[in-house]
Amino acid sequence: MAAPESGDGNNGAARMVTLISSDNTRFEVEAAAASLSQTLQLTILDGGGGGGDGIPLPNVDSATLSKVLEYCIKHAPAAANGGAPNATAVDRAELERFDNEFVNIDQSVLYSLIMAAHNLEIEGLQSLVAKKVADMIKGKSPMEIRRTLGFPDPTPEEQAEMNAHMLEYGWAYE
Amino acid sequence: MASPALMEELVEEALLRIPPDDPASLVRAALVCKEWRRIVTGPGFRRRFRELHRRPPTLGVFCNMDGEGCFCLSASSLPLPARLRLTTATFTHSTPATVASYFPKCLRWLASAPGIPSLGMFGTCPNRHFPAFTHGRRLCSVLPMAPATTLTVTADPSSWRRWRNGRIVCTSTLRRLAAGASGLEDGGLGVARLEKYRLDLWSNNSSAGDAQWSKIGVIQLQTLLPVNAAIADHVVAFAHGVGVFFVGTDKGLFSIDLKSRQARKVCNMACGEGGIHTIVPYMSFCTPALRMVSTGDGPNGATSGA
Repeated sequence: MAAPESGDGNNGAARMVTLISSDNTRFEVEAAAASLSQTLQLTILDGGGGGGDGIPLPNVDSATLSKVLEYCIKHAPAAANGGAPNATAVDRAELERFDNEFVNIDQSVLYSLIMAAHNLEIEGLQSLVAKKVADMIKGKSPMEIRRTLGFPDPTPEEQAEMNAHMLEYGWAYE
Repeated sequence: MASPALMEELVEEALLRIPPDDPASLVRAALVCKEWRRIVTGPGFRRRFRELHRRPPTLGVFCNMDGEGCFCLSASSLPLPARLRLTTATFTHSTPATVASYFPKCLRWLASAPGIPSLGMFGTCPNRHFPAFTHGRRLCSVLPMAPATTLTVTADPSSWRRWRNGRIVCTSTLRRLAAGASGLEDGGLGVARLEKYRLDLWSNNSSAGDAQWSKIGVIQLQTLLPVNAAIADHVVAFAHGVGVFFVGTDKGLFSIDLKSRQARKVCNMACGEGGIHTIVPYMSFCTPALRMVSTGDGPNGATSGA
């Protein structure tokens, strides 16, 4: 699980890889950061993404990718240490602050991030955005949740069903 | 332009992260739409929820008062919402099946999953008057509807007799909590015994035979409860798997977290004579009405290990 890059620190500059978004923007980023993505890690381990090649990411647009990479770059050092053990409380607090700020974003951006984190299999980011959605759900009524998450208005049947359940689960609405 | 239809697995990821001490949010989320309901009521969700949070959610306590019962949420400090009323008469003359049906319909859910002591699996004493909650062959707790002598009907009767006049609750997870080991159920049976303001925690080392009971901890309640609060007879219960005790006093019902040693008032209703005389903590809910929409892999599947 340990990042393989930690072993070749003797050649000075960190290895870089190039990622290409769906709208053809090229992003150059340290391999260690890109490797937070399980999907990319395999390609990178195989030596891909270097030089002029670049790794195409047809499912991720440039706005989302730059956001994803912002997360990866911030989290790469901690991940290279194998997570928490060596991190100081200050480091952890700083990451937490970053995370909180990071998901304080427009809902459409959040959705793009969720999809990207899922497609790229970035575990920490998946967890972070899921937590954010959970926070959006918490303390709301079913209707409010539907509205918040942009569901269409319920059909009369759905509405009747919800009302019936609400009667049965009255305690959940205190 | 927000895409309304988050993929199902992404919804599941989000729902899994609703904190276990906020079960009401989970219930409300289950009512958002059929798809969400199916996710929440599925056995995979229950398993993953436990894995992620290392504990099932505590929903609250069922309080039995003279002549009626009601359900209150441990996650709130609201006065008792008398949502569900039932008579003690119906209780004492019920078969296990009907006793179960008197509990709020929303209650079984995580409880019947393997490894978690179950409130959903009812056993009874031979005379049927004392519904007990069991986990496998172990007795987890008893509804104290009668003198505690009924506690002799356990997998290991000899261990219990000497406490028959005490107020006790038992659990299979005490030892784990006291030892501070995380995540490992050792299967030992734990017992808490309340004596005046002292809660003694005992553990049965199952590997060493039946009768090896040892004291594993003491909680002094008077430091945690309000001054002059009188603890009510029999109103003590343990929420399995989450390390929370409920202690009833004349100043209300309190939950006590074993790990943090923090007490919190659950409801204002007095416990004891004329007030709440039985409490049963819940950690789970089952949704019979919703089971039909879940595709055959509903909560039924998880109870098969009984």
